[in-house]
Amino acid sequence: MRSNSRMILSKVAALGLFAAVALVLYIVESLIPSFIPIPGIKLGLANIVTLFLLIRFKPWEAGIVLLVRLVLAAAIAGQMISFLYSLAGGLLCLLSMYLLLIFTKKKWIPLVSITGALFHNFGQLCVARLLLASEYVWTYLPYLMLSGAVTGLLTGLICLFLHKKMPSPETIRGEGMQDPEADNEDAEKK
Amino acid sequence: MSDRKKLFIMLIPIALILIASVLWIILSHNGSPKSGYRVACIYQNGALTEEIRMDSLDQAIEKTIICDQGFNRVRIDKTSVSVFESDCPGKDCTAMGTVESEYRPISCLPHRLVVVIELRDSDPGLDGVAG
Ligand SMILES: [Zn+2]
Repeated sequence: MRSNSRMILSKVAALGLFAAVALVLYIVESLIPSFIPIPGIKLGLANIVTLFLLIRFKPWEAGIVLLVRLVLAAAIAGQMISFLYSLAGGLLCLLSMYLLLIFTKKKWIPLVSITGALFHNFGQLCVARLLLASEYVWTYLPYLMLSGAVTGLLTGLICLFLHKKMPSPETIRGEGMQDPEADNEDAEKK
Repeated sequence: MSDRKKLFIMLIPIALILIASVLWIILSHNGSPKSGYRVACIYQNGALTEEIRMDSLDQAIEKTIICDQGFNRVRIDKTSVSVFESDCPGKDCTAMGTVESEYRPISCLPHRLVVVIELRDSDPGLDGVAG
């Protein structure tokens, strides 16, 4: 097998695995009863995968895994509306974390995660505002911001731990793979 | 840009958002001096469809609100409102429990329903119109 197609295969396999992990986290989370009775407050465990992929992989790869997870979750739950919330929240979260990781050169990962969670919750609330056509949804914003800070910190710390403990990008991406961008990123950190 | 500067650029907006959130929650829980009377309002698709003056209720009343997507059952008494039954997915509305504050609207996103207590100014001239 040529090394190029092997590289693509191993990457697709890795991304599929991450999507599966994200989906499992998403489902596990939906089984945990909400501890605060405000719509939209969630642990956001699946965000660990998004942030991890943003740090280790390319942004569009993180985006694909996010979309696959959201579509599968919507298909399982059969809920179009919650798909819209999750999509708006997820994309805003992804974009904000991507920009912040560039800005910080991949430092302060828990802080990046908190910001992502705040954007995620804000995005969800904007969709809720559109659907409900009621300004009353903004009364949930303070609760969603506080819970986002707590859950964002939690998922950020888990992600930081994984980033430190997981094998190097080269091992995950498949052997024999040349990725000048990854080398640059590693060089920047030193 | 130095690392310290970048850290502050990230930290300050987060800190401000969190402080504002805490302040809002504290202030909304302490409540303002209440003059006037309270009404339970039911909004569907953003439009006010029902308004029930609460202080005139001798006992709790229950209403079934039907929409294209399903139903919600709402209970209203002198001091509180709740959505106690719904066929919506997620059941966030029933999970919100019984609410006594004007700052805690109950919403059912799949059914596009908001149940909220609103404060109305006492105006004797308008009393006859209500209901
Ligand atoms: Zn509901």
